[in-house]
Amino acid sequence: MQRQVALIKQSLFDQGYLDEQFMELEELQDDANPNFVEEVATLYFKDSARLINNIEQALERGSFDFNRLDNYMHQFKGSSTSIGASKVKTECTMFREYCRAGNAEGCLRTFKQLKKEHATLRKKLEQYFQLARQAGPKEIARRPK
Amino acid sequence: MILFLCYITTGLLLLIRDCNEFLSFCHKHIFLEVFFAMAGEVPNLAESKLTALVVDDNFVNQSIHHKLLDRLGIKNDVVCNGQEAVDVHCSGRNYDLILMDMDMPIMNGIQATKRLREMGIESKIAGVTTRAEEEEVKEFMEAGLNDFQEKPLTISKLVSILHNLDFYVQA
Repeated sequence: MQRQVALIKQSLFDQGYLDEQFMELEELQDDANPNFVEEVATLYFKDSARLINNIEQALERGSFDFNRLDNYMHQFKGSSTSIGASKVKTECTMFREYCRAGNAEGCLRTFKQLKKEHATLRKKLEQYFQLARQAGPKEIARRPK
Repeated sequence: MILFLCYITTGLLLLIRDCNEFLSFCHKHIFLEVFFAMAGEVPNLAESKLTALVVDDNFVNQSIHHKLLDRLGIKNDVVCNGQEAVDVHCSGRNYDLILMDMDMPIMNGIQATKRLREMGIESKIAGVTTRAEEEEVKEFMEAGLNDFQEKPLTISKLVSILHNLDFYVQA
């Protein structure tokens, strides 16, 4: 089962969902905090759900306050970068570029893609953490090849 | 590689012995710990009794930065914005190191750094932010920072901060 966990993790990196920052977090896990990464991921998804809600409400108003949207997305990008959520981070960057260009359609399109990537990552990480817990104490984190 | 490291370590130890009259024991300890960190190992600075304050409004970053400092053996507190950082100092607390985010509500990192310096706080303050434009970094540094690192913060970046800020325990 440990092998299965390792394969799932490898695929998350190979498919570009996660980057090296995720490995940095795994290296912080120790006996005192064996589920540190899962705890941080939980925090991230709770916080990002709030930000997605805020952005949705701002977009639904119709009049685009690009400064406000950019601020929300700055926070979202910051969290995503810290956890290693690579694809989500890329969409955040693109959204911010559209904000700076005042491109409402680009913002809407990118936001739709961002929500999709975010939901996919959430599902995949939930599967990964569930399997990791079933597999028992994890081996020391190794960088993917 | 191991032999090479042993050779270097021996050489350094001899150098330190020769400079013994100029270095305190704790200074040597920190230097060696940082050296081993830069060689790929994580130093434990618990003996140095360093303290730190994490100033960041983002819960994810708070958690990560707190854990990073814990891993290095540095006791630390966490606050959510610049105003809280100022308030905690007004209450009499003091820290060796402050990790200061830039963008925060109520009082941002630039304002908080300026305020702390005006209060006479001499702690080392390292700016930690995703903003990396030259002008933004310059403004942050000019507020009173001692060092700056771009997020996301990692063990190696944190060790780099400690190295740059020349931390040592006064005898």
